[in-house]
Amino acid sequence: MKIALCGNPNVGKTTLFNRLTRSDEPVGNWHGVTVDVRTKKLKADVYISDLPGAYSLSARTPEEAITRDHILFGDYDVIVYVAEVNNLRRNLYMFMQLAELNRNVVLAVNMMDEARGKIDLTLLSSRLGVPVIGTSVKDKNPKSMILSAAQVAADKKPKKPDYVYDGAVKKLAVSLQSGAANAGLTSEFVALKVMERDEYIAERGGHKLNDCDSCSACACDMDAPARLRYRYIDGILSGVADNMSVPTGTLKLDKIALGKLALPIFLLVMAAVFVITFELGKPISNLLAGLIERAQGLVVRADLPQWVSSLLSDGIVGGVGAVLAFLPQVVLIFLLTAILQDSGYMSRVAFLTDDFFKKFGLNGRAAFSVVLGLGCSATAVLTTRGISGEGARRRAAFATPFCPCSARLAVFTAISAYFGLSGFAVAAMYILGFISALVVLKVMQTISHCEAEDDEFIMEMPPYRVPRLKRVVSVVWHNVLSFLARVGSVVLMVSIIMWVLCSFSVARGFTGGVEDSIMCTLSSLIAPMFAPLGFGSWRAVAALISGVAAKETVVSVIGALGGMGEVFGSRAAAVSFMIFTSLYVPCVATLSAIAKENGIKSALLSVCVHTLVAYACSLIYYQAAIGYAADRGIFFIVLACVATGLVAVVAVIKIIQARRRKVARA
Amino acid sequence: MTLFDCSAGSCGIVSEIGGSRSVHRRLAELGLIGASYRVRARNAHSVLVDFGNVSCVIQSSVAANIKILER
Repeated sequence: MKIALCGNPNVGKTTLFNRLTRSDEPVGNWHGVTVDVRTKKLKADVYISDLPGAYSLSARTPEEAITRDHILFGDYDVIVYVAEVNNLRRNLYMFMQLAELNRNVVLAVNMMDEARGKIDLTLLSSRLGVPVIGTSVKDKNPKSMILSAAQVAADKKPKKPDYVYDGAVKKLAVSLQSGAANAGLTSEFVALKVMERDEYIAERGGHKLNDCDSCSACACDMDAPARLRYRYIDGILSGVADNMSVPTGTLKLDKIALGKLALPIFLLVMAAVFVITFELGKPISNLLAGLIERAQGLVVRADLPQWVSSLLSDGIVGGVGAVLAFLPQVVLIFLLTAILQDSGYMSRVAFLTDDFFKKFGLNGRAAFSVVLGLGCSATAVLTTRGISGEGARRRAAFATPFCPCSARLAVFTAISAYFGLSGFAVAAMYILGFISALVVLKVMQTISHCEAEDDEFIMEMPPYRVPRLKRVVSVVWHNVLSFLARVGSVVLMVSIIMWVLCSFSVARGFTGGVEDSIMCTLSSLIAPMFAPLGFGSWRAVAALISGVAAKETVVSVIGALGGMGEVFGSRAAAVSFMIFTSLYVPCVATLSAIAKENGIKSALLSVCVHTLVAYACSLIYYQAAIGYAADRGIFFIVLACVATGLVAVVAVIKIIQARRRKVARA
Repeated sequence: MTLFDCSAGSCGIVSEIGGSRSVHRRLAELGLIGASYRVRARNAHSVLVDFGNVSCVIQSSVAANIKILER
């Protein structure tokens, strides 16, 4: 049996999917987390597919189109439709469309533990004519309940809603019978979609719509299907569920979180995330680093051949250990962002930042991608798929990798720890990454001639909820496992490759030392280009090259090549390197995500833009640092010139935009 | 008067919805026709509205297409 799991966004489909299949797919307390179909085996001969959330089978985003196409034309036997107990009226809208299609359906009413009123599932089941089950995270695994309901549903069709016999619907349905049958759809469903002016489904059902784009431009009544469905739903729910309103707790909290103190509260929350991550993580990180050093010592003292000892100590333990030492900070940032997501506060952040992102051609939905990017840039790029508006989506996917991810955090923390830099230095890297993303967005917006994208964005605001320990732990566990998997695979592989390149020379084979090694020869060819940035040594360049595979390897390679003191000649050089690492080429996983979303050309452009921006920022910093140390007077003159140059660039951009607006008005 | 003209705390009923085909359809699908509303918060480009037990952030271009009767 093949089961399709669908429903409105943010009703708990993926949480249910994870429980049924014992998986750890990403979940979050906002819509747009699931962006693709995921299929897993439930038991022998039973498969279940988790579909992206959709409000209706009339799709507005690529995610909804995936769900629509799977429901209309996909290969499955039963649909398990998940609805949220406190939003049954709106959630049942899409369910009605499934009933119009005459598909085999189970209704799973989810989040029963959070019900804000009484609900009679038995009455609901008899009125809808389908099995109805109640589910919640507090109950035991609902696998057997869902499987038996699916078995019942497989032999039973839902009751046809009475509005399909409405005069206008029936008349249109008769004329669409053969076209609908060819498409494998019911004529009533296609008729209602034609009335709603859904071009895609109308054409699939063999009907071409008239050319009218606005509901006021012709005499068609687009609202009729919605009115019919909601009238029917209201009848179904009468006596089944209490009338509910937004929880008073949410209203009271939003008075504060969205009131005059909204921005200070947001900045305070972000500052708390960083302070907790670094101050709480530091002592545990130091402990881990000590243990790793002891492990290296044990290997060195063991009676092993020199090359084996070197491989294990410098290559594997040193390389992988250097990254693992920063696992506490990585876990903490995953934990804190998961708590913010699950509490519902991130949706408020999207609302608060909407005005801000508008200035750069995006909308508040981009805030989700930015926050996810703190964990992993590749994931953040993939979630931009939920942003409606092709231009906004492409720009968001391009710019998101500028925000440092957890892998880069490992690099920042390692350098800060060695050179005694405060947490502010690390926070500055995040601010720099964010500012770079905004500058790139602004330039893209100017080049592509588009004003702030008002892309008909509608976002549901979930109520606040106390973060569920199980859900938060699941999210953190999933992210930490991905991080460890990368360490265990990519970082380990790169560490071994780097050890080989750094311990062998072409002429003499294994030398055990880095001088005269293959990596030394290769990196030395391009190292002089980085001299103006303060880290023109082949060791620093070797670390940067390895970082293209995975940023965590930068730390492990520095460790394998003699450590921070050996790689960086000064504090300024180390900070310049930190800036470069923060902004340069994204890792291959992120580049492949960009290629998937925007195409290969965009990924290649991303490589060029990232490298140029990183080079420029590092150059400015390092030259300013040494200029300041050498002669403060000249430093301030140069600073004034740079500031004037920036103001001139901004002025030119504003003049170009004003001229374009004038032309557009004319 | 449209939803976008309302200040925070305004409440009433949605009398008519307009907009492009897909926006109009989505608003109808969300059950806004004839729904009661309360504006919870607003900023320059969007407004947070409660429609019964459903809360939505609506962009200015969409809110300007939702005509309301304020109480």
